[in-house]
Amino acid sequence: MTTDVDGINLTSFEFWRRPDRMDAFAKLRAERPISWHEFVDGPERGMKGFWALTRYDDVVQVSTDSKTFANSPTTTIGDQDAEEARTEGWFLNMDGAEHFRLRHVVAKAFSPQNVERLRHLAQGHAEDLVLAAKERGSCDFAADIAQPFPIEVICDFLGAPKDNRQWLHQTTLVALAGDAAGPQGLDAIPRAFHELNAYGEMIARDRRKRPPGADLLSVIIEAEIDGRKLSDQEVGIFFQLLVTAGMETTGTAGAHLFRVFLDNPDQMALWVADPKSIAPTGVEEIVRYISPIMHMRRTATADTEIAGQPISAGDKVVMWYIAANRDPARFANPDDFDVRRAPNPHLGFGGGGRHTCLGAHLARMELPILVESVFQHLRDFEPNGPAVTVPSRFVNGITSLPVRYRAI
Amino acid sequence: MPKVTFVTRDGREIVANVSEGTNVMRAAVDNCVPGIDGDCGGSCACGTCHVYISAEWSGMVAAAKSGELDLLDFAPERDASSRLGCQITITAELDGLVVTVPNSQL
Repeated sequence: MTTDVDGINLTSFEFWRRPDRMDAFAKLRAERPISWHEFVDGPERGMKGFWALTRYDDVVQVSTDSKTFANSPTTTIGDQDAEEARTEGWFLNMDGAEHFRLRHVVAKAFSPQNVERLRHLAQGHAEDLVLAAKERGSCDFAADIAQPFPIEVICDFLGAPKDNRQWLHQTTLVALAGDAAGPQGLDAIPRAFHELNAYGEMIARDRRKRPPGADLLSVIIEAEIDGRKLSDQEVGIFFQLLVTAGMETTGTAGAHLFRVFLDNPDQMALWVADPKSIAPTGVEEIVRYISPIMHMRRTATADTEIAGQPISAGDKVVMWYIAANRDPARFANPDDFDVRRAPNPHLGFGGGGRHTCLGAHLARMELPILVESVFQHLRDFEPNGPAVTVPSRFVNGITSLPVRYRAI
Repeated sequence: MPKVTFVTRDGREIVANVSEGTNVMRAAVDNCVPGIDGDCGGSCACGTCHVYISAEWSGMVAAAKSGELDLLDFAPERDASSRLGCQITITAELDGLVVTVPNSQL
């Protein structure tokens, strides 16, 4: 298995199945921190290649300069036409006033103050899931607890019906991580987004029949931008963006957290002993360590340069948060999982600027609740089978974490 | 500890003791100053921590970068003294800073 930088191609489906991919990122960061990657496989052959940024400072430079590095035409590493970019990414793939006005519709709902209103609801879901597993002595922590938890919270927040939530999750996994199945998985991605958008449109239409309420779907339906409300189709896409982002990322972080605890029992012990003190720094650390969303792409709007590397107008520039979050120039002992790490200016919620993760405060509220609920009922965790991770180029996914434990 | 005076939209003055390294938005929220929201939690992503910094102080504060200026374009009642509070870090040199709260946030 080569770790020569010339042999590292981040578009390669094989690369993402390598167990040493973090070593490969370290090598890139050290020897070729800004590297060019071409699409060579299957249906993506012929798509424009991209610059890969692996250093912290370079990612921040690009992320905070939204004039020079735009989100449009799209934030995917591959190419998308305007319709795909709009219906899959919605305002994630927009810039300027258009982006701001759409994000602003829900910005207050996701504020630190407002997500607090979901605390009691989140606690209830965490308790229900943990108690369902408690007396069994073993479970799949990812599938049974960590992944369902944020699904319930975001769906309740949105006002999505109680049924179909498992289908929503499975379809989200295809939409965001369909590339994990290799080139043959790529076709399934637009189909998954289409189905999620159609579902969102259907529940929007349904929601309009009842008076508006406190749910997020009502907020989106009632919003006015430039004197008009959003169509059912647009509300549907809005729903899809929030539901996919709200479940996959937090579920990934929560599941990986317990995988990392199994490898770092001393860190778990610290959290068990003092959850109120440790949770704030612990949550930031798992987001840094795992970087659930591993990259986002920008496109240069003018000729420019990054750390001496000339970038041409139109070039794709990809910010690899997963690499930047282990940059030794910014983090002491970056490959250590340290639940007390402070300061921790990680880039797991983005490199800064107007596209910073909208759901960051929701995730910060949810994850300590999950951990607290688990530690109140379960102890003496041990692996009960291999973890199953998702070799996607986009999400650092995990679908299975078999564990056994003792009920307390 | 540096003192920051917030002049609220109804004319009250709230004097806050603010730790160095804190930003103006965080200081406002922590001291329950009405009229400064900070919906994004300080990431320069929402524009709801819009404040006015007088000319007397604006020269002592680090200049706004393009991301902040872009968001200020959307702020109601923006003027030349407009800044986003989350982008202003309190230092010892800013002891006595006066921050005026606008009539409304986005």
